[in-house]
This record gives sequence, structure tokens and C-alpha cells, in this order.
Amino acid sequence: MKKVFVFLLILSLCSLLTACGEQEDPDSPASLYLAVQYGMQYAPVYVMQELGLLEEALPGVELQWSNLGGGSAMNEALISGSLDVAFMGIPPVLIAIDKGADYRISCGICVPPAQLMVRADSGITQLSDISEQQRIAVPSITSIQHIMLAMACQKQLGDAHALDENLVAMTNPDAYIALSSGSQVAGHFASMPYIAYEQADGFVSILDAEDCLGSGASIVCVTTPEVAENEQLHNALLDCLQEAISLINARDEQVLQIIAEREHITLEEVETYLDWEGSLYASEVYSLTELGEFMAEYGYLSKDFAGFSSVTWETAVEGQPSDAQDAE
Amino acid sequence: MSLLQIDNLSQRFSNAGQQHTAFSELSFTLDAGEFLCIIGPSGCGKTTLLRSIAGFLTPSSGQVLLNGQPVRSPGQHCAMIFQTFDQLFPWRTVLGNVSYPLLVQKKAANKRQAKEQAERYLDMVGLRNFSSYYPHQLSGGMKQRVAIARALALQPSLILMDEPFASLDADTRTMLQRELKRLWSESGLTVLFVTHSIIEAIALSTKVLALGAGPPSLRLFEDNPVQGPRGQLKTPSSPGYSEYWSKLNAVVRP
Amino acid sequence: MIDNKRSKRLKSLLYTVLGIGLVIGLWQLMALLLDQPVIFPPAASILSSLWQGLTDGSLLLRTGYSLRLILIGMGLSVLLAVLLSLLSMLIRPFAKLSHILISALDPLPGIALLPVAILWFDLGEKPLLFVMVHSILWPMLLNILNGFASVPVIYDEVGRSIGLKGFHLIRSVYVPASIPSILAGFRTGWSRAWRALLSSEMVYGVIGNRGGLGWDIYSKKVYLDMPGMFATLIVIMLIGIFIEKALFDNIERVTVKKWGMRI
Repeated sequence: MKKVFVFLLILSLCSLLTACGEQEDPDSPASLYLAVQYGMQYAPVYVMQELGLLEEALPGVELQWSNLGGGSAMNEALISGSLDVAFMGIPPVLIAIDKGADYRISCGICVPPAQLMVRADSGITQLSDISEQQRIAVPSITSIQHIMLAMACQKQLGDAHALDENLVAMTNPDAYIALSSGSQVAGHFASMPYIAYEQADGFVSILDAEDCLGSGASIVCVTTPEVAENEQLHNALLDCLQEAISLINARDEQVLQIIAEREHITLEEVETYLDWEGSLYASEVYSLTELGEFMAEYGYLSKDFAGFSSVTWETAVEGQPSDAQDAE
Repeated sequence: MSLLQIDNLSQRFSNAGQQHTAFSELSFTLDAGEFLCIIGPSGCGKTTLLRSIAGFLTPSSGQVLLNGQPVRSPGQHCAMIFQTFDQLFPWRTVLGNVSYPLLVQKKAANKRQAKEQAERYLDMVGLRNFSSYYPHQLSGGMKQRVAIARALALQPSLILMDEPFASLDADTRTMLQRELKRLWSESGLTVLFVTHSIIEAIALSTKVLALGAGPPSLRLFEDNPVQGPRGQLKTPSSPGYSEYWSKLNAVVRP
Repeated sequence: MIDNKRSKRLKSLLYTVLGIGLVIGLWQLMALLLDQPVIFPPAASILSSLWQGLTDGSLLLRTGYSLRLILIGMGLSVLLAVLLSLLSMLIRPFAKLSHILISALDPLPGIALLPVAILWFDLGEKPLLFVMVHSILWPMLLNILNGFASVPVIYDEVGRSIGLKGFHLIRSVYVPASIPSILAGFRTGWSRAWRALLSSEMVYGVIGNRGGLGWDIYSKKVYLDMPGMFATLIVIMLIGIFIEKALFDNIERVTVKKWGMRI
């Protein structure tokens, strides 16, 4: 019992100390902490990183990059104050804001393709064919894939939680192996390049982002109030991301090379994947309102969704589904 | 035919490439009902001899015959009492320690019978009231008495005792020696008793095997010449005591 | 004597209650000082989440599911450990093999084997049991073998001199004489089983047919339900305390303590 007391006292003192140490001069941050995840949907971020765009725009600011494995980890890092800028899917951001987090969305970076792949011989052609024993792999609970699946369930089966018991959280590579090994994992809500791998292996898509949402959903850039209120810093970040997006959309040689090296794929594959149906690199934020309303209605959020501007900084522009189709 | 026959027995060990002889070419015979004390300085091989008879050690050469049968492994032919107080199983009560071997050796038909027999022998060593105690609740002397009761209850042809009283205080030791002598005379048992105390050897034995550190020719195997009333300890006042003490001392500590 | 015992018990109960109260009070004070409910949720919200989870049955269901799997895992591991330790005692070369297996496999964390286990056994309870048995078996076997190895020679000799051999000698002498280390093996196995189960579920989400407490923590974590997460952690701690006090302490009381044996 004594040990528990001592432990709690130390814990308390530590948290008090860190709470006091967080006060910094907001005008000239010495360093900026950013975190990105793996995969082609984060290409604008690592292109910006490789080209040193942000360093150029923000002389004197030390950039501290890290790789985190998902939206949940991003949330924890943002809330604990160890991160200023995060790149992640929309649903985890909405959950954090719903719980009282003070960070918001600054812009979008990419609308990645998302497809539910199943084995061709599984007999599954629609969600209602999925049996109790069959599992659907998603990258994690509350990931965009999970919410999209819930939306499709609501639309097709009338119950957003119909397939909750079938979900298993697996990283894309793990899920790819599980799907290929002919296991209980009958479906994989995959992102690039795993959609392409699985398609090449003869798996078929029974559901995509459009079926669920009407259009794809953005991967977004999330920033803390300290970053957003520092106009120079915030604008520099947005400009650099926009520049990287433009370079990707222009199929710049050097940029394609960077993506190929990062993803360990060939230049042809890079082009194929960039041109993939449903893939869009843009700074507008797509499908935020739809996701917010759905998540609030079906219990993924505790409060009502108060609209696009309640979860974004003023810089964020709402993307229109028609624009997305035009861009293709 | 004698009960125990030791034939040209030798025990050698190799330790780190070094050959070490505990004893060699030892021969003697022992009749039923005798009380043999084996005496000698440390390292003379008396414990090794006892363990060879018990069957814990295979002879390097020669043989041990009990009732004409060679001894190959430990078991029912003899009961052993060790020097250490830890020879009782701590997870069994005093009663359990005595009755359990009876069941193992099928010397009792069932648990109830084993319990009754065990109680009788605990009574003999004066520990009837302690039968539900666990060994850790007993004194050293009491533990050795339980060990004696355990051995007696099995009614073996031979009881082997390896310095059972060496770790006790002097008063307790004398008391237990007296009781052992009484039990021996009442039960007609055959006892092999290892000790390094000449006084204990003279007090208890009917026969003495003295092993010296020297060559086999200096060994001594003979009847204990000191006389005393049967079932009682021989004391320094017994006739011939001091002469025999000097004789044994000369063999054991030349 | 009896009164004395009762007052001692009352005293220890009082201290426990006071201790828990003090911890809750300190926690609440910290929560008020920090005022960051997501990082440090107030004690009241944790307790109400705990109460809700217990009354609506959701926490109990998950606890039951985890406990069931752990008991199956423990049962399988005990069977295997008994089998392997018997073989090691009765067949000399097998003891060497056991020790090689232990030193090779014990340091391998169960969670690292999970991807392989899923490939071999597919999803469901089998890979979880595999990982759990792996986590429990080696420390348990090691403790049993170490226990056997450190049985005083005198017990072996007494056992053999009263005529015990082979399996009977192991059962009637080696096993009771090694109870302290066998119990230590069970304790290690028990905590390893929890770790294996919870970490598996926290990495992969639901793997079995229904989620246990690891899944509960995982899903509360992704929804940033911190009070709920702490409530689940409290349940896990309570189970740990209960098993320690009600099971292991009692086994110890009627065995090694009663027999005056200590390691």
C-alpha cells in the first residue's frame, strides 16, 4: 500500500512539473513537432519533408518529425502536448474534439481510395453475405475504414453496428497476409497500395468510399491552437503542403522518384497508384460534414456535430463531391 | 547363516580425475539381534559403508549380502536414520511421517491400520501427544525420535543409523541413547550405528567395528568386552571400560 | 485469542479502506489541480464509469470472457508443464532438451508470436491460447524443474529408503518439497497470462469470438474514453488482488506456511 502512495505522489509531481514546463513563447517557436503515418496517402507530407520546403519557409525553426501508427496514437500525442502538427484521418479528430481537445483541422492533403476487398471464391458480393464467423480487417477501430463500413452497414443493412462483431484491427500488411492465407479474414478494407496488390492477387472489391459516403474522405492536417494562431507559421505550413500537392499533381519527376523510394515501388507503379480511381491529392477537406453527422447520430460521438467550422480552423476549405469528380 | 555378510567390499570414488579410496577389502558378518557400532575418524569411510549396505552406493568391488541376497538398491530390507533433523517430510504430520511408509511398503492394509500401528510406535518413543504436529513445531530431539519410530514401525531386518544423535545437546543425547538401548532390547532388532564418539560406541554396542585412518590390518572387529545389564547403557563405572576406551582410541586416533 | 484475531482483521480492513480513500482523494485533488479531464479524469467520473460498466454487465461480460480464456490457458499450460517436468525427471536427456527449450523460448515475448499464431491457427481463440500457453508454460516449467533440482538430497534419500521409486518418488517427495517454487511458477504464469491476453487484444482488437478486457481497453482508448479505461484498469487490479489474496495466499497458508517451509 505504501508503495502505491509513493508511486502516486511521484506521478502527481511529475505531471505538475510537465504542466508548468509547457509554457513557451508562442511567437517564435524554437521547434515544431510533426508526426506522419505510413502510406501513399501521406505523400504530400513526405514530399514536403524530402524537398525541405518547410525548412526553407521557416528558417530558424527546428522541425522534429516522428512516425506514428494511427489516429489513436496521434490523438494521444496531441493531447499530451508532445505534438504540434499531425496528419491523420477525420474520425479520430472528431472523437478527440468531441472529448474536449482544442486542436482543429487546418486543411486536407489527400483523398485516398478505399475499397473493401474480399476473396473471389468467398461468395461475398454484398455486406449481407458476410457470415458471423467471417472477419473484416480494418486498420483500427475508429479508423476512416471502420466508419465507412459502419455507414455502408447503415445504408445496406439498416444497422450501423451490424458488423461490429466481425471487425478485427490489423495493419495493412498483416491484413494482406491474413487475407491471402485463406483464413477467417474474409475481407480487408484496404488502402493503397494494398488495394492494388490484392486486386493483382485476384481479390475483388465489393464496396468503396463512394458507396459509403458518396465521395472519398480526406486525410487531414491537424494543428494545435498555438500553431494556428501563429499566422506566419501556419501559412508557411499550408503553403508548403499546397506546393507538394501541386508537384504531385503535376507528376514532377523528382517527386515521383521520392514517392517510389519511400514506398519501395517502381515509377510505373507510382503513376498507376496516383491515377487510381478515387485517388485525389487536394488541400480541400472532403466528407467532413457527412462523417460528423453520421458519427454523432450513431453514437460514435457523445455530442451533436456542430458543423464544418466547429472542427476546423478558418483556413480549411470544404471540398464539394462534384469537384472531386471533376478532378478525376 | 548370518543376517549380514560383507564380502571383500571396496568403495573408490574418482573426483576431478583423482582416485580416492573410502575403504578397501572389508569383510565381516553380523548375526541378527546384534548392536554394531561402527567407529572411526572423519573420512575413514564409515558413512560410505553404511550407505553401501543401504544400497545407495554400488560397491566398486566385493558385495553386501543380506539374508544371503545381494543388496542392489535402497528399499525395504533396511530402514535408515540420518544425522540431520530434516529427515522428516515437513508436509506430513508426525503421525503421517510414521504411517506413510507403512502404506508404501504395504505393511498396513489400510490407512486406519497404518495409523494405529504408527500410534503404537509413537507411544514407544513418547510422542503420542504430538502426532498431529508438523515437524517444524518439534525440537531436534523430538524429530530424531519420530525418525526412530518411523524406522521401528517398518520392522526391518536391519536398522542403519548414521550418527543420529550427533547434532543433539548432551542431555538429550544421553536420554535418546538410553531409549534406543531399551527399544533395541525389547524388540530384538539388529542395529548398525555409525558414530565418531568412542563413549557412545562403548555405551550402546554389543559389537564394535573400528576403522582407522591406517591400513586394513589395523582394523578391529570384535565383541564389546565391556559388560553391563542388558537394555542399559554402559558407563565409565562398568568393568573394563577405561581399558577398552584406550584400545579403541589407539585404533581411531593413532 | 479470537478477539485479538478479530480486532487485527478489523484493523487491517480499516487500513485498507483508509488507504483506498486516500488514493481516491489524492487522485481527485490532482484531477482538480490539472483540470485536464482527458489526461487525468476526475475520480468521480472513473467510479461512475466503473459502476455503469458493472451494473449494465458490459464489464462483467468482458471480465468473464478474459477469465475463461485465462483459465483454459492456465489449465493447458499446467498439463504440459506437468508432462514435460515428469519426462525431464524420468528421462535424463529430456531434462537437457527442456532446459534448451526454456532458454530459447522463454525470452520470446508472446505478443511477438501472435502474427505467426494467427497465420497458423487463424483468428479465434486458438492463437490467443497458443500465445498464452507459450507465455505461461516456460516460466512454469522452469520453476518446477528448479524446484525439483533444489529439493534437499535428504528427502530423496529418505523417500528411496522407504521404498519409493520413479513416478511415486516424484509425486510423493519431489512435488510437495517443491511447492514453494511451483507456487512461484503459478504466480508468474498467472501474470504472464494476463499480459499475453491483454496485449494481444490491445494490438489486434477482437481476436477471439468476443472481446475481453484487452479489447475493452483498446476500444475505450480509441474513443478517448479515459474514465472508462481507468475503470477497466481498476477491474484488472482488483482481480489481481483477489487472486493473490483469495487463491495464492490461501494455498500458501495451508501448505508451505503450515509446514514451516520457506524458500
